[in-house]
Amino acid sequence: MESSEDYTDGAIIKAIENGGSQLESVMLHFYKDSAIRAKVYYFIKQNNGNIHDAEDIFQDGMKNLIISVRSKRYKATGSVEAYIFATCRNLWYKKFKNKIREKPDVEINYTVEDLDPLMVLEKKEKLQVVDELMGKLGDKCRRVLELWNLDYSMKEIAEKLEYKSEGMARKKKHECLQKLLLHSNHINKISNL
Amino acid sequence: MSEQELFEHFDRFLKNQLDETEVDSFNLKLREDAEFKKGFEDYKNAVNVLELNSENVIDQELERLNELYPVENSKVKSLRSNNSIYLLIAACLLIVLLSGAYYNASTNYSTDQIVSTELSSYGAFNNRSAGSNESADPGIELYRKRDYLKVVEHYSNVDPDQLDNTQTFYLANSHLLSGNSENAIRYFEKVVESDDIRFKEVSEWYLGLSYLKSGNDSKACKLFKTISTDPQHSYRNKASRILQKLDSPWRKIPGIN
Repeated sequence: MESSEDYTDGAIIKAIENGGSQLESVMLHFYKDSAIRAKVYYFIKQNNGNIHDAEDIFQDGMKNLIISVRSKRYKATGSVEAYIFATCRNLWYKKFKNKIREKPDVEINYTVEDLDPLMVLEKKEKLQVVDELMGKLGDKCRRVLELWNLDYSMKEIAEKLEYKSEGMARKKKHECLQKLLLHSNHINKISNL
Repeated sequence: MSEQELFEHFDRFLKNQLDETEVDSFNLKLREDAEFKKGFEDYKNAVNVLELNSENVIDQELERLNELYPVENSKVKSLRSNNSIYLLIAACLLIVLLSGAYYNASTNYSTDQIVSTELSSYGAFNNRSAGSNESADPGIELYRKRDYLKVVEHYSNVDPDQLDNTQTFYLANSHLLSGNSENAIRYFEKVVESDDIRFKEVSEWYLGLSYLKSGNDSKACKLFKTISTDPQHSYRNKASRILQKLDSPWRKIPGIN
């Protein structure tokens, strides 16, 4: 994806699904070139938020889009930008419902755990445990597995992490998976959370 | 199959990349081979951990991008000014529409406009019935020359009771055309009361216009209604048309009359 004409809604969704460097391009596009970020910031500022609130909310909105698409929960009822804006608006409303002037009239396809405070807390705990577990693998292994999970190709992983070949990257990935599997107790603990 | 190949096989199963036969074979093995099943379950749990971790990874990447590319205040400001521009354009359009509506109302539905349209459309009464010969009456001659003020001046030296219906009629017209609707009313009423068949209908019509010009809308409407409902009256169609205009909601706009 090179030019702004490539960022049609269909192309954006496809790129997120494919992951890897395509996903990277999409994220870069939304931060660097797209107008939606300014629109969200403007909305937040108009509704008693500051620049940091706006940054946080936009980041959460983007994350919601990416995770929704990659977990096949995304439903395209309008444009991608409209989805991001509605998500951010809802997030802002939920977070600071006393501050904003109007209630949004659109509820978007949120999962329950995104909204229920108890579930949010449980998820936060889960993510902490996950973070600790990934920390045990070492930086290099962690990075290999993270890139692999986001569907970077072995060639891309080799380039990013400066392995000599795709084969080397593939071998490293396997070793790191084995390392991860050695911590099966931890994995079971996360599953039971 | 090496462990690496086994993991890749697990991965393809999880990503629905196996064909139907391979899937059947995989499921069969899951049912029959406990070790295979354990290996797959452990692999699946590890992948789930990585999926959960991907949220952290995405967060970190988005934070990095946020620091690399701070939102430009100019872009946010331009949104505010864009909104202001849209509001300004909307306000201008509204003003243009309202002005257009007011202009339409004032040029078509004001009393002055209605009266002058009727007078200009149908012209001042011309003395067709009197023929084209020169009249012995200097007042009527002055009227033919459209010197309405001089007509008024000429007849001002004569006792009004001494004027015949013809002279009264031309005098009334001259008053109307020179802007003196009150006097026009006086003399048209006199002609109407005389029941002179030559001038009665036309006098009723111009009397109505005189009432309108003097601001007496209700009297004007009453007279025009009488004219419009008389099937024999020569001015019934004109009276109907003028009544429609007088009934128009455009006349309710403040400042139109």
